[in-house]
Amino acid sequence: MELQFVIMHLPYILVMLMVAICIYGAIFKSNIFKKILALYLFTDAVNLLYIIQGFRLGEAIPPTLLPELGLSEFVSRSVDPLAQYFVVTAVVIGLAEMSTLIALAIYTYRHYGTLETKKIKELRG
Amino acid sequence: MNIRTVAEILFIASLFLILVYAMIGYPDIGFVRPLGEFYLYNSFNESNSTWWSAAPNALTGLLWDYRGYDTLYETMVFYIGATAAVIFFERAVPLRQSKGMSMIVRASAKLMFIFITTTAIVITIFSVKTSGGGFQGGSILAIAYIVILVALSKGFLPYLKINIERAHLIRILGLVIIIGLALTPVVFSLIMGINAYALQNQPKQWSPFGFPPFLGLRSLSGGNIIPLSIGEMLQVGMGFTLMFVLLTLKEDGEEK
Repeated sequence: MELQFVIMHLPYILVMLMVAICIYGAIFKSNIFKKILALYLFTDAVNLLYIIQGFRLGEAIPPTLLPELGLSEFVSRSVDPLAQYFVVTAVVIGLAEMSTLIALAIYTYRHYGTLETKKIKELRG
Repeated sequence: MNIRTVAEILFIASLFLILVYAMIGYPDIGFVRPLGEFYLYNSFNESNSTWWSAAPNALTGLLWDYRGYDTLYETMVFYIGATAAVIFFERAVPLRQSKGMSMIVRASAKLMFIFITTTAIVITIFSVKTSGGGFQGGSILAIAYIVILVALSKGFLPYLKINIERAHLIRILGLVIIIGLALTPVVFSLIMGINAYALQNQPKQWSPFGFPPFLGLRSLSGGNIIPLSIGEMLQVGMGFTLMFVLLTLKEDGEEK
């Protein structure tokens, strides 16, 4: 892999490292809370991927057409609104999903007295 | 270093390499794709009223006009997600009454609440013109309650006239606003016998139904986007508020 290619794609590479660590955490960690945390960071990694793809080099501006900007200048300078759209909705829905998971984790703790999946497995016999 | 640790490190490394290999097909960083440029070009292009959304903020136009169905379904997902969380949290514990904080503290709490709520409403309404939107405004609205909850204890919530039933009602009101506006063109088309589709914002050549692009002031543009954003704000704000209030009540129950 060429050095220039690596430098140009460094944000992607860092996101992939984050994704790999999150998948590891969600699968291998035995504590339910750590699994939830890994899943939440996983959604953040995906959001980061979207933002990186929607980024524009140079003097980038937000996707809002200001009166002093001409339409052609706006189109040539603005970042991608589609990437931001996905992230805006994903963040809010991700938080709702996390709340549901945390509620389930609270119930699990109340029922078994622990959040360790290994211990829960032993308790079930 | 035992075998398990080595296996875990190898798992992360191999997964990372596979993901990086898959990344080679991704587009280069720093360039906006043609689809994104289409939205930027047409969002507030008055000379091309067929494709415009009447919103200078392309993101808001995208949210409720170009990809309105997506947002509608995501609102449903949020509603169901928040409802599921509330069902898990909910318990028949009434909100405690205040233990009598001083008048200065109560007044300042109300003042803070008013400031944050106003910010949420302004961010929602002017999202067509500048950064913001229903999701963002809703999150800020929830913060108004959470700040009271965290900083001044939940004994204050009765002073702010918030209870669980009312929050549920406001959530449903938000949903009714969104669904009502989505179905208005359909009802109109049935009555008038013309073409119109659900969630239509601006008129098209083949579908003449349209909301007025400017609500009096030119700064309040976007057709139905502002009321839709307000519905979303109520929905998201009350959803988060309910979750946090009920979560706190639950902890209270455990202490007893």
